[in-house]
Formats: sequence, C-alpha cells, structure tokens
Amino acid sequence: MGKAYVVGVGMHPFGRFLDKSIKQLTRHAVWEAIHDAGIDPKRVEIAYFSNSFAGALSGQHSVRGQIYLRDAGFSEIPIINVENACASGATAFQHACLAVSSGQVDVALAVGVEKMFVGDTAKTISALGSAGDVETTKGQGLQFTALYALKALDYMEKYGATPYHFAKVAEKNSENAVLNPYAQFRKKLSVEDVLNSRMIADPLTLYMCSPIADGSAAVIVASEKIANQLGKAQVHLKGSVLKSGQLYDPNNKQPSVITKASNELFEKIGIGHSDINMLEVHDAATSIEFEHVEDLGLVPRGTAFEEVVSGTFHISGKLPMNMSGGLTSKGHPVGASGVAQIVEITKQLRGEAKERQVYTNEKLPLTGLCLNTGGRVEDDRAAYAITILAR
Amino acid sequence: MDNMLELNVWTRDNEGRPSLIGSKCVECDHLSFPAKEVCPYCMTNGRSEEILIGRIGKVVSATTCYTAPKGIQAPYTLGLIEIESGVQVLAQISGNAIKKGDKVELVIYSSVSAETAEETIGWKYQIVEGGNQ
Repeated sequence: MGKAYVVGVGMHPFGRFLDKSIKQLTRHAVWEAIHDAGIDPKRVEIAYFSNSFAGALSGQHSVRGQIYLRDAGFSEIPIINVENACASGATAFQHACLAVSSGQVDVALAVGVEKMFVGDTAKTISALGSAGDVETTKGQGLQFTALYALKALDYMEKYGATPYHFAKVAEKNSENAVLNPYAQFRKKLSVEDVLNSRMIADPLTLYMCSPIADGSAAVIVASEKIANQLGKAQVHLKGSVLKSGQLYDPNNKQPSVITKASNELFEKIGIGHSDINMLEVHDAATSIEFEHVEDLGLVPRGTAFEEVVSGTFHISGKLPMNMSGGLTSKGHPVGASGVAQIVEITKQLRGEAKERQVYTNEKLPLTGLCLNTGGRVEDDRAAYAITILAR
Repeated sequence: MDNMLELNVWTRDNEGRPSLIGSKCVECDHLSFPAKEVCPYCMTNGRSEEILIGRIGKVVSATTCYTAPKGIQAPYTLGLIEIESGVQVLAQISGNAIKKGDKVELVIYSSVSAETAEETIGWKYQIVEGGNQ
C-alpha cells in the first residue's frame, strides 16, 4: 500500500446560510481545496460525496454527489455517495485515501456537505431521528441530544462529574471557535452562560449541544508522486479504522467499540497513545468529550472531567482537543463534520492554524487524531471512524 | 399498519396486553429486539423463534427533552428501559417523577397530527401504579 497525502483542504464556513444552496456550499469547499492544493481539477479521478439529509430535507434522495458535484464542474469520474449519518465525512475521507493508497487512482476528492436550516426545526430534528432504526423508534421521539443526555447522566453517576464540567468543555470550545473564521459561533461563553442557557435534554443545556448548521468541507488526497509534484507532501494518512456498533452486553463487560478499534489501530500502525499530540472528537454534546478521550485511552478512565478544569485539553494544554471549536461551537452540518475534522488537523500539522496553532514542546505537532461517530443501531452508535494524520 | 414497508414491532398477548415482538435464538439463547431471523450473536440463520418481550420493564436512565421532533409534544421523557428478559430498549416514558429503577409497562397510544390529521399508533412505556422507586 502506498501513502495517501492530504494535498488540499477547503471549507465553507459553518452556520446559518439561508441564501446558500447545497450546490453553492459544495462548490465553495471543493474549489477552496483545489486552490489550496494548486492542482488542475481535471486530475481528480474519483470523488466520495458525504451527505446525510439532503434526501429528507430537500427531496434529493438519490445521486446527490453526481448532481451537486456537476455544479462544481465534475463529470465522468466515478462519484460514490457516502451516507453513515454523522460519521459520513470520515467514511468518505477514509475511502478516498484507500482509493489512492491502493493504487487505484493518484488523486481523489472527499467532500462533505449538509444544509440543515430549511425553515422548520422540527423537520430537521425528525430527519436526524432517521439515523436510528425507524421501525423501532417511530413515535418515540428519538433525538440524539437525549441519547447524549443519558450518557452524561451515566458519567455523572459513575465519576462524580457535574454540569459544571460539561460547561467547562463548552467554554473551552467556544474560546477555540472565536479563533476559527469557519466556526458558526464565534463568541466566548462563560461557564455561567452555558449553565444558564435553556435546558434541551436534562442535564444538557443549549450551549452544551451542537447546533444545526449549513456548511461544507473538502479534502483532496493524492499519491506521494503527485504530492511531491505539488509541493504538498506534508500531511499523510497514518492509519484509520471504521467500525459499526456492537451488540448490547447486559453485563457491561466488553470494552467500547472506540477502545477496541483504537487499540487495534495503534498496534497496527505502531504508535503509542503518547504519540497523539492533539485530537478532534465528535462532541455532538460537550459531555461526550470525556467518554471519547477516555475510551481512546488518552487519559485514565474517570479523569477527563477534572483534566478539562486543569486545562489539559486547551490549545495550550498537554492534549489539545477540538481546537476548531468542535461540533458544539464550530457547528455540526452532519455530512461535513467528519471532513472538517480532517481539515483542522491538516492545518494544525502544516502550522497554518494561526491563533489556534498547537505547539508540542514548542514545535509543530507531528500527529493528530480524529474521532467521528454517527447514527444509532439498537444500543450503540451505528458507525465509528478513527483517523490519524501525521507529518 | 400504515406503511407496508414497516414490520410491526408490537402485538398483544393472549390476555390482550401489549407486548413487543422479539426473538430468541434456539442455538445460543440470545435475545433480540426487534425480532430477527438470524441471531446477531452466533449468526445462526433461521433458528430463532419469535417471543413476546418487554411487557414490563425497569427504567435504566431517563431524560426530559424540551425540544421535540414532529408529532411529539415537548416536554417529554426519553429513556432506556431494561425489559424483563435482559434486553434494553430506548423509548418514550410517561408518568411523574420518572427515575432510575422505576417499574414501567408497555402501553399503546394513538396521536393525531394537527397538521395532516393522520393518526399514528405507537408504543411507549408508562410508570405502573406504585412503580416509582
């Protein structure tokens, strides 16, 4: 297997863009990535198009990638439509890398787009609910915020965390988003702001939850040969893993999918937990950052809520997490989120993150991890994607 | 059934009480909801039998939601229910002061959409009388 390099990244800012169509959002991110790579777009040989809800929200249920990418100039090349709920973006990126590393193509595009502001919040929440088994959740009022609330309650009971700790994560992520021109909310929130915002699903308040968003992100992946030609051979895929949810274990004995998958991945690519300099995780609610970083084995079980208070996960901390602002402050346009994580880690590794730049022992970081999760099947999430990029 | 593509996930037992339809693998005894032909634990095909489960359950955790998808009135409670046979389901729960350990029973409800006047028949759990812990 050859190496797959990230040679170009692009995004449309996340937020509420009532005047922007899905085509416009797609074109913006794709062409920003093309310009960033400095590549002739005719050299893109395959595209993976990540989107979850254009079917439910706009009626474009089928061939979305072919429709939206045609507007960005693409025809004839194979286009694969990727749908794995909130993990669609990472799934698309991992497969673009596979197309390159396997030698199938020299240049691949992964793009994630979502338009969630459609003038009817209940419709959008209902669409999100379809990321579960609709046969068993019909009429139950399934919403992902509630699932995160249940996990938050469990974490509080097990380890003694309180809503204050979830608010500390929101405070941190909002500070990071202030520094990110692509973020939806660029306003610093205090712990009080977060705790006093309205309750969404007990114990999660509004500012602890990721918002509905419009937005897009695109990444161009290339072989070593092309990356060198472009002078863009800085960041490459170190390793990745994609998993589906596991069966419910009434005795709660088996490790989580994240723990099993990350251990498998670390061993396969021969790196240790301490080699991870920074990470972007799937904070659909701020409370889940604790479970994610603990499941990944990067801090001991039951300690993450104290670590956020001591500053470990801040940009200047020992293990910066969600430097982009995370889903909660950067925004969560579902199909774009996983690709946007790759964009952030790439910028950090290149040293292009400006005021958000992470330094590891006063040097640019060498390795970053992305955790992107999506959907629900029975008692677990539907999809998990862990992606590690390195210089 | 209002949609031919959907399988029913609940029925009524001999005494007319609502129950969920699950399955039990004859090979490994694994219980599953919703019912499946293939056991997801041992992957034996065609050796699962349909069983009625979840008439009664226990609240594992519950949260009150203050925003709602279409057709649901906020606030409402969503929670995980451990159904008597050791399977967990996510469901809407009705009742007062719902908390962990409360005893709940399956109920069938009907709601009519204010917009479309379409009737939805659904299932949810309800705290049984004296079931609060």
